[in-house]
Amino acid sequence: MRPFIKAENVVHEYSRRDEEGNVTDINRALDGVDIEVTAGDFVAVLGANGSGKSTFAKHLNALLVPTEGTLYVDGKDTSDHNNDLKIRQTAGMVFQNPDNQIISNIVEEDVGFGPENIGVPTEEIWRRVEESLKNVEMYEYRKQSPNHLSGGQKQRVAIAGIMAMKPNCIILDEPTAMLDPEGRKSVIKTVRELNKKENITIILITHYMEEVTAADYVYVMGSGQIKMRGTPRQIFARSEELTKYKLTIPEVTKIALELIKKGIQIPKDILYVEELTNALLKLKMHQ
Amino acid sequence: MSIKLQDVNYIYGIGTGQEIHALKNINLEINNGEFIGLAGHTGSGKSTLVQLLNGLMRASSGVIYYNGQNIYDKLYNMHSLRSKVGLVFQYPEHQLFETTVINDVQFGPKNLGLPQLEMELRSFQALKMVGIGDELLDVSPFTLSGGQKRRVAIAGILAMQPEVLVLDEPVAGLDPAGRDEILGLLKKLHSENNITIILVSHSMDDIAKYVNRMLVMNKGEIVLDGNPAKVFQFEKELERIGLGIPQAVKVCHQLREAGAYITGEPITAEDCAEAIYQWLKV
Repeated sequence: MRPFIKAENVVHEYSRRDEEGNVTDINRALDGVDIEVTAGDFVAVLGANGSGKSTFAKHLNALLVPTEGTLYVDGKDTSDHNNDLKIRQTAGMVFQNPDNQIISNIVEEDVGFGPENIGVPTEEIWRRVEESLKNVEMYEYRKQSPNHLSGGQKQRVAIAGIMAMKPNCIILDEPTAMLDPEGRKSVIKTVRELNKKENITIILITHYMEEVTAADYVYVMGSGQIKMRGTPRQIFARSEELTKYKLTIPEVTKIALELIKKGIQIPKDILYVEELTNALLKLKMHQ
Repeated sequence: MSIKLQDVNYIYGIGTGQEIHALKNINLEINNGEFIGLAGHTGSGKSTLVQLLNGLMRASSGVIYYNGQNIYDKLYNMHSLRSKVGLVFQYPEHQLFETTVINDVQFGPKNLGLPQLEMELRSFQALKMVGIGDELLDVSPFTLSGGQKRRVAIAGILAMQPEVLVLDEPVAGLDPAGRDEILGLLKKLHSENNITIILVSHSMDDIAKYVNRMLVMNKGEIVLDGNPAKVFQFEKELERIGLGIPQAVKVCHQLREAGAYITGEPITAEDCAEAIYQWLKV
């Protein structure tokens, strides 16, 4: 099967210029990134501030294009501007700050903005608005002003706005950074469901470790490169390496590792509270 | 230093027909040297509360005493209160604006009308406290990393030499290393410089390990008040108001429910592992 996203040695340089337009400073934000994402996958990208993960995200719907290397989204080269519109329809993007991406006074109009701009017929727009608002469980708020929604609800409206354009893939760049625990949970739940039920490819960029446990595959970025790749269990079993990239492991994994250090025999790739407590209770029973 | 709130209410939009009762009859005493974590989900009233503490907003009713003096008294010097209670807003790095780090930090003391020498001395001290080295004094604050920018912004408040430092979500948007860096800095300011700290956050995991008193707000009221170990005993209550508890506490609670004999209320991963180890050994 053809990969949905294929990055080959992608390099991106931000250059700063003086008044005459001469380059004075070059910052290599991406330094040879290779990634392949299969359609329908839930992929998480972890990385410290400044590791290049947002720059990479912006490449996925051609907001930025590689300085070197190539990136294909759904088989289309993002460097070719003729592909821009198609790529942006197939790969939608949700940003960190919900307040920066909502533009209408009424929720349903905001969701309809995307499909309207790509020339979807009116009845079809309304059908899609209804469907996508139901998908993110925001249908009952459709006539309200987005101003009165919580952060998590606003992010779900933003996701519905992307869904209404019928993308194959949604890229979320730290969608929960500004939300409270409840809002975070609701956004992550929505994203998971879209992945499972609608088979939407998800690229989730975050530095909350608890959010990536459900991903099929995790990439860890550092200094513009992919430093680690694997399933969440494989990644979190390598805690020392993660610390090197200014990341950490979930608290419960940390507890498990501390116990192993003390000679307790439990698996070292524990990700959930129940998993740890079950393993411990079993151990106690056999004593 | 002490702050006392007596029957404080705050209502947004009085007389508009869309009144929101953001704070309801708050009675609270904050004592010198405390390290307080103020938790609550979005809209619980915690940001409103902290903005009352340095007089940025005025309570709709009730009284606030700073060192025993009513801050709403006509003769009270509100200006000095604002330098005593330093408020660091969310994403404080968005407020950096000067061309160099040192100029930015000096902006506050300059506005206090301090002599040049005193102003410079305070700024150097403040930058040293947050761990920004001399080599960064003359660079543009916009070239710094996220964590560094935030520390410079905090230094700008510290240069006013506050007795109380209130921070609204100081670690939002930072990676784990950046989070530890800022929280470690606050711990140091508290223990070495004897500054009273009020840390506003909705992440229990972040604050539980650092604070010695937790206040939990819900719908404009303080619903829980005590040390973290005591507050986390109310797991159901915390979950109902959308906050949850640190994973280490959760692990211990679940084991205990299943009949395990685990002593204490460990909050960090290390303490939790030790408590479990003791139980397994018996």
